[in-house]
Amino acid sequence: MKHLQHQLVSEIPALRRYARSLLKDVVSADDLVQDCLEKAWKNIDRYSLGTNIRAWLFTIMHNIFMNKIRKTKSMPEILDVDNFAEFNSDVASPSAPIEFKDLVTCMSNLPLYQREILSLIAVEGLSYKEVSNVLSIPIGTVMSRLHRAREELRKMMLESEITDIQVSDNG
Amino acid sequence: MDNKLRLDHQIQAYIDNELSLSERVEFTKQLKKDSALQQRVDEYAFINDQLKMQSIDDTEVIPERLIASALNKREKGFHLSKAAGYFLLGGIIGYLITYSFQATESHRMVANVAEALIRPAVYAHAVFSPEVKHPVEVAANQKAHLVTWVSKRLDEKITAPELSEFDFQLIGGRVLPSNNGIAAQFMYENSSNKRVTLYIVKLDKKIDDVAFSVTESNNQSVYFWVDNSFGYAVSGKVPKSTVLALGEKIYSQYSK
Repeated sequence: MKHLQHQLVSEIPALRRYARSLLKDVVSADDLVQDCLEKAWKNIDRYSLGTNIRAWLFTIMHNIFMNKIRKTKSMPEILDVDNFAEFNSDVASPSAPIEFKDLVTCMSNLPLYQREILSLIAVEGLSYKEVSNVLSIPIGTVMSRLHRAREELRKMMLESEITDIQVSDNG
Repeated sequence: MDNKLRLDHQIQAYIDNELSLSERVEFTKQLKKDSALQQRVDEYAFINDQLKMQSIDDTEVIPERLIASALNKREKGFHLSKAAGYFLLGGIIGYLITYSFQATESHRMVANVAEALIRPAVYAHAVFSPEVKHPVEVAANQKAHLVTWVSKRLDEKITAPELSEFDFQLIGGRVLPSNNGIAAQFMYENSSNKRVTLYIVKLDKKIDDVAFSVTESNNQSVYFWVDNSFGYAVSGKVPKSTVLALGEKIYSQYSK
């Protein structure tokens, strides 16, 4: 068990990254990581030694997160809009015009399901098959979402470049 | 057949290395003919690289409550030793985790031991693993003699772990001096001629706490742990996951 403990500790940075792609607030993201780790230990018998532990942990985290969303959606009066990043990007935010080249900020402007898939593939390096398992969607859907996400991000970054050029036209 | 959808999927699979070799060859041909497509693909690839880069920050301090849950310990009564923090080791940045339920002298000792242990282990790996003629003192074809020698010097029955399940074969070992006392190094090689070493050092104090560190930097990984009166380190130019897996195997063989 000791090495399983060590493995889980060494996965914490990846778990925090994934959680932050789902929840903007760092503390809430860490809460999600903690829930995930506690659930992982409760279900440790279901983990097959030698298989990709990160993918297994991400599946757990994704499920916890989806359950949270389902629960709060059914009770809209307590929905915490600040925490659910998906709603943030749908809501027009006067303080966040799309004039930045900052990739991180562009990412945070993507809808949740696009941000999540980019995070899993590009940042965490999961395979399409693994992502398909984590999110419980077919591989074709993984690729379609990925395409939409990358295309959105590409457009955002190109737009910001155009803005940049216009700004520097004076010089 | 919806060709546009297939193309979009192909683009993604190309960027994420999910195409088969023949698919990749076909797609590359297509890129050569279509400069607009190539441009788009370049832009996606650039975004991908940017995403990968800005995400690598393993040096952020981890809240204690997360470490407690990862270790399956209750948060209450869990204290990270004051010695826990960051250390620089010849280019390898890592973090050292020690935990105890009571603040004791031993956790400070563990931190010093860890520091004193990892450095010589990594150094010994760097010194001997590139050797062509003399990587080891006693070769694996004299395994019985090697094991007898090591056990005698470390004053403990020590065996050379069996790692063939990971495609690593023992090539031999040696005894080494260290600041903590006498140490042993077993060297393994896989079919790609990649080498990993297991460094074992006898500590002069028995340590109750469990300390460990796993670091990966410039493709070099080290996994170190302490168990009773011995410190162990697995090093190599392999991913973190490999040293962890090897370490787990070694630990289970030594626990029998």
